[in-house]
Amino acid sequence: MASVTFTLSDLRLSTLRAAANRIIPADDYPGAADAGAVEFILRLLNTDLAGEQLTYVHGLAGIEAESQAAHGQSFASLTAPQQDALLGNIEADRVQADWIIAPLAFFPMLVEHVLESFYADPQNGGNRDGVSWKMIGFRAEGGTW
Amino acid sequence: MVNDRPPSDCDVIVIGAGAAGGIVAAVLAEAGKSVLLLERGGKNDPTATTGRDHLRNQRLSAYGVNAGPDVADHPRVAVLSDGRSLLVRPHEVGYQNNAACLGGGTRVYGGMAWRFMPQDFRMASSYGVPDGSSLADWPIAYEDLEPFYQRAEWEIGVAGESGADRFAGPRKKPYPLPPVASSPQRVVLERGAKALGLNTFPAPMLINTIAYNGRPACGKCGMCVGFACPTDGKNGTQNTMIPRALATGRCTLVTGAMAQKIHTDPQGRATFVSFFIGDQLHTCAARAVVCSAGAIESARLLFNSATDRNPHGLGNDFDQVGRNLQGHVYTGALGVMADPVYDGVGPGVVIATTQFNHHNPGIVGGGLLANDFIKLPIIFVKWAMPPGQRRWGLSAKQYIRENYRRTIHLAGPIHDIPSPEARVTVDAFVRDRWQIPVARVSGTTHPESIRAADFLRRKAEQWLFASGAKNIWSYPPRLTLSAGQHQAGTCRMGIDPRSSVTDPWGRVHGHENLFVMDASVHVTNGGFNPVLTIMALAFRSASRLAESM
Repeated sequence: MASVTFTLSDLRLSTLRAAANRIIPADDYPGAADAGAVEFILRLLNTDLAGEQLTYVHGLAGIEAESQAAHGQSFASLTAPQQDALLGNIEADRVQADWIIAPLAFFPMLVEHVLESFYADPQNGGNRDGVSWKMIGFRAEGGTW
Repeated sequence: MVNDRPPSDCDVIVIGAGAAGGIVAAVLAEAGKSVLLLERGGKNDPTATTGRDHLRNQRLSAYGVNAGPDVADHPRVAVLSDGRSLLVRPHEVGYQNNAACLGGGTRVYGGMAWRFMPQDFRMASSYGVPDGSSLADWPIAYEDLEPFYQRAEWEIGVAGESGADRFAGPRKKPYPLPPVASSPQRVVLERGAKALGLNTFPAPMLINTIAYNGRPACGKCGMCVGFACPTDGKNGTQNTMIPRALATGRCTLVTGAMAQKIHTDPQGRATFVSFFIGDQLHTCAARAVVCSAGAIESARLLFNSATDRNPHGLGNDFDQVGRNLQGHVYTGALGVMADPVYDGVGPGVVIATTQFNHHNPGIVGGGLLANDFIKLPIIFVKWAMPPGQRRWGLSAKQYIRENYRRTIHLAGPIHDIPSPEARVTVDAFVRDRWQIPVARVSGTTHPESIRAADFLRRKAEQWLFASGAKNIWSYPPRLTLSAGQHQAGTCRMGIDPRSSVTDPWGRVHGHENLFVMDASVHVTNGGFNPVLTIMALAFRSASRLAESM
């Protein structure tokens, strides 16, 4: 795996972490970011999805701008219900801030990547310790391949 | 011998070491012929693992593939149904990928081992020819292939319950291996099938349910589709026929070898093949050449071997090469049971019916239905969530948690009704790293395939309902091309050179020592996974070639 050369600013990372933890929130099992979603996405953005780096930069900026417009504070500092409502508006394309990238060119992709991080194999950087597999009862094989 | 120093001449060159090529090489080598077996995949490590990446495998190729072809070196041009042409890589939409490695698709397949039915060989005379389709009868019958189905079942290794499929053609010998064990899904689905009067039985599988042919039993890990088998209990050509070919000492296998051109003399006889190993060009002369590169690459190679005598490609004087590209429209339905029906025991396919392959009022053909292989969790999330189910938030997490083990998916392939407009050509502009024109894939299946798929999905829904499933759903089939793993039809066999590419033994019309032995020769592709038919035809055609040399 290539070493990480592309990364996001601290603000964008905090937005991504917060959004991932609402896309798959913690209950008695961890949330997506707690299980490695940010690491999974950064790895993809440095390899197979290098072409989407700017989509992420602008998309995460859009979420943050939306939060500032609606609440005057950063997305990561909102309550969970506020975050859910805001992401729901973005999913429905109801936005008030200026978005450089269309909200629907980003949010569905973000959801899919977070799902991939949480339910695919831990070797991809998410699903730490196979938590999602334990949660759903997937009989992950042993073995050394 | 595995070698990167190919011979300069041999009796037969076989291009492609997949389901057919591995068999062809073994049959010829065991008959005393010297064989050069070329495989573009695998680089020089035929034992390479295919890994366990849930996002980059033959079943879910989100960001890459695990069994070839190399993502950077093998582009194609895909013409989508809206007319756009896209330059695509093996894991991208429209590429129609099949594995390129030692064993080809058999290395990473699920391994359903169906014989076609007798009626499958005479679709045109059974149903008539729908407008715009190229539906035709095969020039051979089930009875011609039966001895070779038997060879494939015994020499590769198939597990099944002999005689349990009431609609199957006659068989002269039982399956060599006992069927896969029952499971919670089978118990539930048998109940529903009984209520509906459906004849069901364990799906035949190319899996060692017990140790066989010197290899151990399947480890039941449940990751059959998309990955190589960790216990080597799944039977492909890479662990059966190719080792037999190599054991003769008469077969040279070269992996990482990309065929460039089949060279022919002024009489149309194949004389030698040029191919690249890395970027080094090699040639090897032969008394016969066999294309076993799959329906897309075999057609591409015939196009790219054009000469003054055959300016449109070898075997293509009548514009037949590359046409009738088909695979399978898949259909089915999903439903949710009150109690978990997941036991995690692979391969997961345990119950099937062939009741809807034929004799469906107003429908041309039909297809089998079987419960699906065990789904990786991410595949469940991508493919098995009901319509309207939110994909994010706590409710989505809870849905997946509650229903991964409760969901049943019944699925099956429709006997594709071929269209001459679904086709492979070579692109006029795009070339691969070796400057070889790439395959251009265009067209869709015929609308009759869609009607049959729509019929079959309702049958799947009814079976689920009768089995006690709730919240049942399915999707209307779409008019697309589905010619990846099951690709077939581009060099169909026949008697008349004006409407076929090869004779009934795979010999290319007009080229007495040039053959196609892979799914390209399928006239139609059955309402079944086609691999056992590919294997049986390879045994049949290669045996004939060996006798004739």
